[in-house]
Amino acid sequence: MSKIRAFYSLLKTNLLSITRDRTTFFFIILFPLCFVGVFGLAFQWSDPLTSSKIIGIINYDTGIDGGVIAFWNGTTTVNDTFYSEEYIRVLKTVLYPESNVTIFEIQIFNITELDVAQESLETRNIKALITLPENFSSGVLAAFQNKFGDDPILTAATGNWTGYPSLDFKTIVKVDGDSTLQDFTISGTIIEKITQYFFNFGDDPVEGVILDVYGSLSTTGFTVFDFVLPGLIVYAILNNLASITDIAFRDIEGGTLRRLRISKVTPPMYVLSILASQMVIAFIQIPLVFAAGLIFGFPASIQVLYAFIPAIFLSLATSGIGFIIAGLVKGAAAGRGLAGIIATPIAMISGAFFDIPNPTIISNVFGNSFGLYDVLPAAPAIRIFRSVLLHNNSLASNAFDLILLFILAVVFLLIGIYLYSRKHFKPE
Amino acid sequence: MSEGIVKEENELNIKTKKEIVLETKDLEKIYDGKVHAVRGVSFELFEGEVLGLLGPNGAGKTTTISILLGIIKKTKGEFSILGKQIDDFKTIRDLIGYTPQDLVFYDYLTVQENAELFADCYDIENKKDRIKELFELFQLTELKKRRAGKLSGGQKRRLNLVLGMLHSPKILFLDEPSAGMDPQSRNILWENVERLSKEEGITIILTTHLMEVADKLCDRILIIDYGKIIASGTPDELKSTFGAEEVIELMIAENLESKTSESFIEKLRKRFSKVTFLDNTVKIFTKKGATLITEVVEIAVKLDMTDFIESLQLRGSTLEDVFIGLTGKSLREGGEGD
Ligand SMILES: Nc1ncnc2c1ncn2[C@@H]1O[C@H](COP(=O)(O)OP(=O)(O)OP(=O)(O)O)[C@@H](O)[C@H]1O
Ligand SMILES: [Mg+2]
Repeated sequence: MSKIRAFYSLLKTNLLSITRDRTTFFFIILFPLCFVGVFGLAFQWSDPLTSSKIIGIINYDTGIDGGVIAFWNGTTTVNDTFYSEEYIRVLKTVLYPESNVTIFEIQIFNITELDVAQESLETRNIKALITLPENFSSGVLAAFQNKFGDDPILTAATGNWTGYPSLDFKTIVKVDGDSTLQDFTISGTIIEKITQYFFNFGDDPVEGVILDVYGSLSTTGFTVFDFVLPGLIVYAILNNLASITDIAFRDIEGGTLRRLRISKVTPPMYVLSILASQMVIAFIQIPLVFAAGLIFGFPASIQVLYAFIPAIFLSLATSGIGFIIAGLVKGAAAGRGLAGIIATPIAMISGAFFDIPNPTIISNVFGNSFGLYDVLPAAPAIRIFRSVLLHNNSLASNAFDLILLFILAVVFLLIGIYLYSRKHFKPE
Repeated sequence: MSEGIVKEENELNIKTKKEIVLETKDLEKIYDGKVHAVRGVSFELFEGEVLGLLGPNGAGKTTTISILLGIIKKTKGEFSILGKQIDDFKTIRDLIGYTPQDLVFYDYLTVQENAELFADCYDIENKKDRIKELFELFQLTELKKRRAGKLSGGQKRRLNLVLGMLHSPKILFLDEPSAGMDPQSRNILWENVERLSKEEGITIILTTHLMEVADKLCDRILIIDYGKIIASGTPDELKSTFGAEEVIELMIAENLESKTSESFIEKLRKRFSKVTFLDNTVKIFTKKGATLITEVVEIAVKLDMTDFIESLQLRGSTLEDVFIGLTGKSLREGGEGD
């Protein structure tokens, strides 16, 4: 009971030190958000709108029986007609206004390659996937008939061909993609316009087709920004190193640790209050950075909840590093300086901002490889965050990294607490 | 006047109870193998008394207290508090209070928040009441919503004091409690220290380099210099250290030839048992000053130096005099403010 009261009071004190100090508050809360903003804006503009967007097409169109067309045209021999081919040709050739750049680069998938197409969509190798149904050509025919009236020859042909569409027949063209992806939204709109134009033979209104443009909830594909954002969450938590050393040195140099030491506060309680404060901060940072990421197009997902568990471990490991600094470095200025300097390179070589080669040390640990930088807690943390937030994976599928992160947290904490208490909790 | 009565009562207490709550034996501290800060300090602290460690800057007062609190390690010697050795101090944490010499609290917390935090660190049951009570006593009530860092120096001192006594300790260590206080704050401090020792029965050990403080507050004083206790006793006992209750004090002009002043002192020393000469001030410790003052004048006349005597007075001896008599130097020497 008594311990809880002191613990709570110390925790509150640690948290207030952050909210009441503008510099610390900036570093802990605003700095990561600024980072998100800078990255978000940079990548927003990095992809010019007039570049061709790669879209995929799966074509199930069975075409129109050549006989029907032949009868209609009054000719004798005509091949089966696939209006979908004409449709694809149009898509391929449309240009950006006043430009010779085509809007789309089309990649055709075989009907047996549905899974390949889906995967391309998920990894965002294609921005949208258009599915043309079996009755696509029939839809074109129906639209034609609606537009130009009931053609007697055509009607006569009905009797000879059972596949002939009725007047109110409509075909359904599906356009799929990631609705949070700007490229998809733009592509979808353009596809819609072109399709309407195609089915209406150059005029409105549309007949004969229902365009089904929808974005599946989220894909495991990503933009450069999407790739960076999980790294930024890790970077934000790593940056708390400065605040941990700040708290530790504040108590050493300000003499408050002396006061606390002679009170009933025990070293574990003191250390726990610092750890807990760091966790609270990390728990505030995650949703903030995530929300900022959403503004710049990061896919929204409930998966963010999973991020809190690795965040606990990462926060503990970071606190451990902070205690190591406070236990080894003499002055507060040097300690703070060191804490400020090392967070960025750690984040960088752990792969927060871009993929970095991680030399393998042990090639097979329970089927996973252990790289040089994996001794840094940020490395497995970043992999977990990416896997969970970007690829929608479960925590269980990250078991190896999660266990690795946990072990690193325990190791860093133990070393840190040992060094710190050896120096500051024993009589001098 | 009431202080006199309080003191007598305390002396009575000491005589009747005389229970030892803290004891040190040959305590020594050498910092980094170099600075010999405390050189064999032995003393006892009796229940209910106010004990003063009086000494100039660097005498080793803070070092002594820090050893007793377990903040720093002793180099040699022994001590026990409330019958416990340092190892099981944990069990008596709540019986000991400490107000450090420097201001120790969180600047960014308010006065009230600081008090609540440290109260929680001692797990005080009725913390709100206790804080209120101490804030009233030390006139902090109106300041309780202010950030501690924004208080004036003297206000900070008072907060610093309060934080050490929230848990009503049995023994309270006050390191330079009156530093940086104006006369009004100092009065508050004195009243409260007396109240704490009398009403709450708190045993107080305080350090100071101010005679005035030691004289007023302490039942007993240990004079410390260069890490050693050079004298101890009640203020009155100390004042009569040289068998004298009075001091004849002469101020000599700066332009007096040193040869003359030296022979003057020499002559005085032959005649009187204790004579000091420091900063152009001559102090002669005596019992019957009124009859002897003429002798002093006579010696001066003989040396033809009466024109160089700027003042001459006879007064009761003070702790300051005793300190100069003991160490040959002034206590205020190099004093960092007060
Ligand atoms: N941490 C330390 N390391 C080395 N020397 C120290 C340390 N602390 C104090 N000293 C030295 O020990 C001696 C005694 O210092 P201490 O602080 O105990 O004096 P004090 O009597 O409290 O003086 P003051 O009246 O100025 O507070 C001084 O010479 C001081 O320089
Ligand atoms: Mg001191």
